[in-house]
Amino acid sequence: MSELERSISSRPYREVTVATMVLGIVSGIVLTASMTYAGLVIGFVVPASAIAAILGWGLLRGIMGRGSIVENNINQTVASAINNTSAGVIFTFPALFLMDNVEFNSVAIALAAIAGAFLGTLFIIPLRKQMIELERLRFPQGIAVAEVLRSSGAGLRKSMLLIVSTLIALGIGLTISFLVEFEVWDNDKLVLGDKLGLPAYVPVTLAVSLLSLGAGYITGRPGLVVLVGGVLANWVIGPLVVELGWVSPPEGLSGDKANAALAGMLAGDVNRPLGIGFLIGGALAGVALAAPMMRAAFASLRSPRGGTGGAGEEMSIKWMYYGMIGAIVLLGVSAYIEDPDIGIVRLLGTAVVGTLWMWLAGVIVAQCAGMTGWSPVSGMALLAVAVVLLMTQGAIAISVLIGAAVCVAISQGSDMMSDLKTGHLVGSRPAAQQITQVAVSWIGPGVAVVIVYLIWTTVGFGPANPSVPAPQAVTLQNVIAAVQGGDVPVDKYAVGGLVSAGLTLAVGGGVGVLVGLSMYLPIFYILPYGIGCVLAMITDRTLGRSWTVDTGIPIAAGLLVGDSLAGVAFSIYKLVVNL
Amino acid sequence: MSEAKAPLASSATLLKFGWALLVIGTIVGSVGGARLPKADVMLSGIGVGTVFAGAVVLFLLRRRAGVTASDQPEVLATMRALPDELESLAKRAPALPLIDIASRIGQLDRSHFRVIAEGAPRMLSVLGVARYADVFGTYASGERCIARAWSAASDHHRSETLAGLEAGAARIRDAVARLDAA
Repeated sequence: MSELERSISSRPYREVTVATMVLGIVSGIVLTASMTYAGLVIGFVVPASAIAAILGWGLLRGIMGRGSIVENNINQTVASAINNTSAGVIFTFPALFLMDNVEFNSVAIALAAIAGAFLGTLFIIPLRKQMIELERLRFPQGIAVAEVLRSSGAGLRKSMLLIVSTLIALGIGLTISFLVEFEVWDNDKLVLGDKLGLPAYVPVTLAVSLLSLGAGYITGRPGLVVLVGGVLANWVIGPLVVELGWVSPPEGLSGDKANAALAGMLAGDVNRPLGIGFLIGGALAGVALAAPMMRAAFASLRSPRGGTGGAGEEMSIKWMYYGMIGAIVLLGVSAYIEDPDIGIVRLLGTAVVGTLWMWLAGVIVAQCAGMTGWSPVSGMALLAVAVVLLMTQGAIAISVLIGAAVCVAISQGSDMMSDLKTGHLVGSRPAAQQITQVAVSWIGPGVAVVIVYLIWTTVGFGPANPSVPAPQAVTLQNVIAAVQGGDVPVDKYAVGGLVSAGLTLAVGGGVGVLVGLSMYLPIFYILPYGIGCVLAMITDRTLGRSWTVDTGIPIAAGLLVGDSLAGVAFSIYKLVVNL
Repeated sequence: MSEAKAPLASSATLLKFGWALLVIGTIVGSVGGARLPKADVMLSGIGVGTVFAGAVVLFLLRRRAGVTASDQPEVLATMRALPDELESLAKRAPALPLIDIASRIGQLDRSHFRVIAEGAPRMLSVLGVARYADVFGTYASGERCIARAWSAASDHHRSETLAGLEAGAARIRDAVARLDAA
């Protein structure tokens, strides 16, 4: 036994330590601040788990000279638990600032978001067993982070593949962002439809997204359904309904302008609501199919020895029940603070519906993240706002409050599932990850609410400030206006839901959810993702499964991580130049 | 010979028919749903009905085909062989350098764990949900212990490596016992 080994083995194996908690909290807060700003500028946030893992290696092992793989996993769990809530806040809360005639209470919104953060973590306790251990969903983000964490012991070749591909993706991502920023390129997409002579409503456009390419490669063959669904929605159904004359451009437009308007209508008024219907119908049918497995997961967690995982390794299922009760109470309190005249029936109804929706949307988003690496968070939040708006007969502030709670809960749940997948691959104790995530999940919503408030009071956002356009908030504002005008596409939700339920019952395995996701997402992200899936199938067949796993996946993980790093670096740049 | 082939051929035809119904139903239903401002009820209804008809065909086909444990010989053989491999490694581990333990776990990952991970979901139809959850829930917890042993070995922590190996081997042995009992 070497001196190093003797010295390390004489102490307990490092997992949850003060150093990793402090590092995770500090990096989580910094990432939340930059992501909140970036989200208001570009409309989406990038996953931060891999960035936190890389920071962890640098600081824990590089500077402090200690740190184990599972300890760094706790660091990235804590950092991403704090950071991921920013999506929930920026997709919803800023809309209230943009509506002149709406009074709201920021403290109530923060409280609701905190309720969502707790519940999002606690709801997925039984889903870990079901989705990670039994259904064995891939969670591409989780696999990529595990590759980063394991790089220290994975041998020089694998580490070099990961590092080189990360640097390449970082370089490409940053170059493209700055080319677009300085208007050398008009956008970060390759528009091929024009060159093929196709009208704009038959979109053949590819985002230069190495993140999507890497996620597709890691998912492999199972992700092909997303590509097929995207092709079907954009290249078959869309053009067909235009040819049938069922979708027409606004009067007075012709030629390219009419085609561009048709493309916008197909994406926003047809594919998106149909896709949301598919997601909900597929998820409900999936829940029905998975009910016996969920029962088995519940039974395992209730068993006297703490489930098959061994005593104390899994957080007890009773915490999920406490979480549900706590969430209903917190949501009720925040709704009351927001509107003291709400009345007990509407108050209870809002809190219960909000909690149930968090659970259903949480299952949908966790399934999507598990199968593809994408999370349709904003769509689920928009729908939650629409439902509560209808329930409360137009109480906008309360609806946005519930939307914020739902959005935070599902971001948190999907992040936790991805982190637990990473934990499974590196051998972390699930309870250690779950408890630390619960302990810090309240921090993110508070930070994000304060940052949104600061940006509003200093530079402002929305249509009045083109450099901070807050696109998701504007979308939510439009949805609220549509619901108030009675313009909810219930028919499209229903058709999508029924077709998707039938598909899922026939094939199983979340097929309806995948097709829904492919309709919901723009084709320019689906195409690089699909190319990644096809590449994985080609290397499987020509070079063998071992090559795919030992060489292809580290490269793909590097692309995913490098592109995320580029996103964070660019948002920090935007934050600094606008100070 | 021809008698034996006949049901297989009809199953294949039925399978194609079921899938065709699903694809056509999805396209027809979605086209009906896509009309603006309101969905075309007739077309959507036909699409939804066709998808459900496809679901019924595939359900009946699955019931008729049935799946037995012998259809998954590779997964079963690999799973049964794994506890012996792990116990042998756990026994030799105190005397082995940690780098060799990590390397051996890496080899087992390629030769055994991946085969089981990719074949496990197919065992669901063999075992049924409750037994599948019992067997593979236990197996997954053992798999996690072995992953922890690998991490600890990479981190130069011998006692955690040995503990992970022993716990992992015991849990996977338990999973195999549950599998055989099922």
